[in-house]
Amino acid sequence: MKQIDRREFLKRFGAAAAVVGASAALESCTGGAGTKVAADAVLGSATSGEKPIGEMTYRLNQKGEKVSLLGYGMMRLPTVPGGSTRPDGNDIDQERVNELVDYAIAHGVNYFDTSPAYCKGHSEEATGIALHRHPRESYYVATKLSNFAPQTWSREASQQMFRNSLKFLQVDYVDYLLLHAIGQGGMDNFNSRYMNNGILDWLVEQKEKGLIRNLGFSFHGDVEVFDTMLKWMDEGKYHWDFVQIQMNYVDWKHAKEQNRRNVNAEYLYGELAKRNIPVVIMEPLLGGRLTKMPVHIVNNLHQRDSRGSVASWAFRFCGTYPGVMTALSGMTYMEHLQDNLRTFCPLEPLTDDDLAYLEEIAQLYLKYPIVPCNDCKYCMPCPYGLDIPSILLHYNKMVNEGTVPNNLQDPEYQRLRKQYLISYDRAVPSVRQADHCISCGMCRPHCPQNIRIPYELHRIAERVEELRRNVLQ
Amino acid sequence: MAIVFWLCITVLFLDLTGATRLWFGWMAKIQFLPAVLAANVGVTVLWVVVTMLIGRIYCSVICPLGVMQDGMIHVADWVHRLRTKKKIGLYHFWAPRWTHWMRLAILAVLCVGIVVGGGFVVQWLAPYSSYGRIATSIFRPVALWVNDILADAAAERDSFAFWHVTWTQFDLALLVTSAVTLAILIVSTIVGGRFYCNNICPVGTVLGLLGRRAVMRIHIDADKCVKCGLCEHKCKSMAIDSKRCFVDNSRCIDCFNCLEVCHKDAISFGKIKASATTTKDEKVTVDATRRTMLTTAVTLAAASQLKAVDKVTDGGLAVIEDKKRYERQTPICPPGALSLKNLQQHCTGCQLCVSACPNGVLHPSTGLLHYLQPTMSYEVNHCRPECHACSDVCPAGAILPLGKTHEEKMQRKSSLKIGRAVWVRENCLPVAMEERCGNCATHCPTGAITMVPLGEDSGPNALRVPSVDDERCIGCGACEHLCPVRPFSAIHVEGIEVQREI
Repeated sequence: MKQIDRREFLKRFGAAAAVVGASAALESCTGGAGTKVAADAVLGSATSGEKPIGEMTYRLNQKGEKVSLLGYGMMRLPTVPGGSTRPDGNDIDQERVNELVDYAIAHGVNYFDTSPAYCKGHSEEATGIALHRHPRESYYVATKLSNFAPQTWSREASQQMFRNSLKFLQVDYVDYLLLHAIGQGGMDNFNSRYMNNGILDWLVEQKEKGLIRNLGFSFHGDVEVFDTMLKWMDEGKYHWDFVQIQMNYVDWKHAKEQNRRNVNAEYLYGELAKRNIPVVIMEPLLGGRLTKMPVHIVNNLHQRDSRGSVASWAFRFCGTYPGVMTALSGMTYMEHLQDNLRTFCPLEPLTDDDLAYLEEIAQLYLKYPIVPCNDCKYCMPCPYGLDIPSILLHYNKMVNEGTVPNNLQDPEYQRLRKQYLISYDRAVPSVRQADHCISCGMCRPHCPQNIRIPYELHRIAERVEELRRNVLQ
Repeated sequence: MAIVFWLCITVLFLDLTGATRLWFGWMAKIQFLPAVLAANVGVTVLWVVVTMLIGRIYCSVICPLGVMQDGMIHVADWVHRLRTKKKIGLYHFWAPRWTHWMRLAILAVLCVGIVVGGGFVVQWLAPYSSYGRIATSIFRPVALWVNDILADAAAERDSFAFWHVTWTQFDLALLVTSAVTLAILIVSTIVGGRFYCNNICPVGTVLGLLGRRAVMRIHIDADKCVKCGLCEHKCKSMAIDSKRCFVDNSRCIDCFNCLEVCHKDAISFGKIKASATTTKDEKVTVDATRRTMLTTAVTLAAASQLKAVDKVTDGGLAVIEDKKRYERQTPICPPGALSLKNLQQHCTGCQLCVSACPNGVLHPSTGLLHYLQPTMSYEVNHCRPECHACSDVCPAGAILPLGKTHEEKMQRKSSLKIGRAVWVRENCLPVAMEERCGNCATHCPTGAITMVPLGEDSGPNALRVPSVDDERCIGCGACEHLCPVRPFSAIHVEGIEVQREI
């Protein structure tokens, strides 16, 4: 054991040294290629139980440019422990963001996806700072027109939002621009955001001017909107250079099962592949839910592939489909990034046998009463101060660990009850707990997973109240 | 043994889990004054008999305030010996006549206080309560603070051995009262040892009168005594006059320091023949004792608005304004208190219930008539249906037990009306903001609140406001606690004069 620990330590130490070296080299503008090899050499030489990082797998966009199959999602950026000290409430740990971006670029990642709404509105700025330290041609940046709030529906406000994106990202042009999360609120909402104010036509103009290189949309929810977009393309009304959809081995066949307002990824992908539209994948891990699986499933996956992580299965599923241009992952920690790089450098596609196996896993997973929250925080801030994602994630955690106290006769009941209540109070301060929800419904239209948030919160509040009273049947 | 008792009682006040109540709860119940107020005849008689047999052993073993003073005396004595570099103690005989009258006067004031029902006199004078206040407001925050550190450490290690508990609400009046008491005690112990116990404490006075002629007591053999004065200086009660070989047994608290210190074996503890001379004073004291007992017997027989945050970006938490305490027309009494009057008459303000409340709804009152007696408020939580901690711990009969078993208590609790909910129309969300709500009705445990249409419209999307059925409301405060309106909830609980079953 000791030897392995020491080896592991040396490996980490070496990797960290390589990162420092890489960023130093990049800052002095000597180019990333040489340092990348050096970093690989360190990682590659220290073979442990894990797969070494090799060459990144690339896919082509409609222009024939090489895009890394692993894309960096800038929605779950690392934050400073203890919260923000800045007056604007920005709590992003910029130093760590820079390190992560440097490491990703050194290992071939070249697609970065952000939005004006992410991280309380500070993601674009942080992304801009990190990317600006690299040559403009070494990365592609994607951002969105996130005009969700009615006060941003006016033509001027939406235009201003796009101009702000250029400013915060410190670029003259955006590589990929998306209409953000269309489908939520149906065609009415889509028309209010992009058609009635003429913004979609204005964006096409910006594309002709070269300020936008690829125009596309991300989709959640009402399938009518998705179908209309593709119909417009077939009719030659608008051209989509790429489309971003939610795809993973659970949503492939079972999205509709979980919520009838969702659409199965198999259908969405099929329609796009038919038209040769490159697919960008979001939520390949369902906000980490496909790594934080019930213990039983985790063991099952490890039994089948002892070298791959739980997450690697979900990414290999996405990469197996050739129409996929890039799969986005919001990597908060260096371990996540390294683990994903091992999966994507290079990507080993799944066999038909593997795909059938994952379908079984998906069916097994759906038997657990998990709330499908991906911790995207679109529902936040709740006007009444509730911490919605933390409440749902705590509940999921207890389900995954199998520690939800159910039966008063269970000899373990009292211990589980205590554990549940204490961990709930630790995860969510009492003034932000589920029993404070008044069902105002403000959160509901914002949830890309169409979770009936007030309903779930009331269910959880009732369960907690039962536990507190110790009267669970 | 004294230290064990003191530690256990202190733990009772500092306990954050409520577990020790089962083991040490009885220690609070054997305290003399609370037992008298609770009409606990057994305990009262026990101490009367014990004191008449062997003297004021109660004061040196059971009383937590006394034991705490012993600790201070120990330190004072140690410092004194270090400074003087002699082995002679700090104190000397001091029992002027007027102090005797003073303590009788204080006892009389207490008796009048009990009869008239001015709880606040009792609070100031009861030794156990003074200790309880000090433990609650000075020792407990330290324990909570240590617990918070441990809980943070436990959370990091994913352990469930420690967890954060609701802090007892900060109360300035309580802290000031306790700090003043503690300061007085520190000074009085340095100057006069058990000065407080022998000149002020009414329990000390009563037991002193009983113990003065106890069957077994300290006696100095004048033949053996060399009048060295060692015992006099060592006596923390300042009860020994070595020159006269005299022991004031009304002040002696059975600490037996004098026995240890005497070289000549002149001091003994045992059965003594009644002294031949009966002075006039003694007659008076006997009278006073009888009067006290009579009085006691008589007493026993009588027995703003929330602004919705604009959502433009994702994430972040809305700022939550703290709720503010309502000035209630009638205070809410803890369930089991029966009535405001009963609470006022029996409560000695020891704060044990305040310490025991796991939900932080009890806090000491600041009103003059019920100074430091517990009252309720629902800013941080409500009076939870499964909890009956305050009635379990109360030693004074101010909050009576709700039943024998947990089930019985829970059942009684859910039907015991301690207050009534009052709706404040202009604060309510549907009225002020035209926002649909109904959280009070959702969480009302007795179903006393129904949401009724505000206007003409009575469809499913109509604005609805709470209608409270006063007959079903028990005043638990779930509605007030969970009302989204801050800092003053749109529905709050008013106390009622007499608690009753619904």
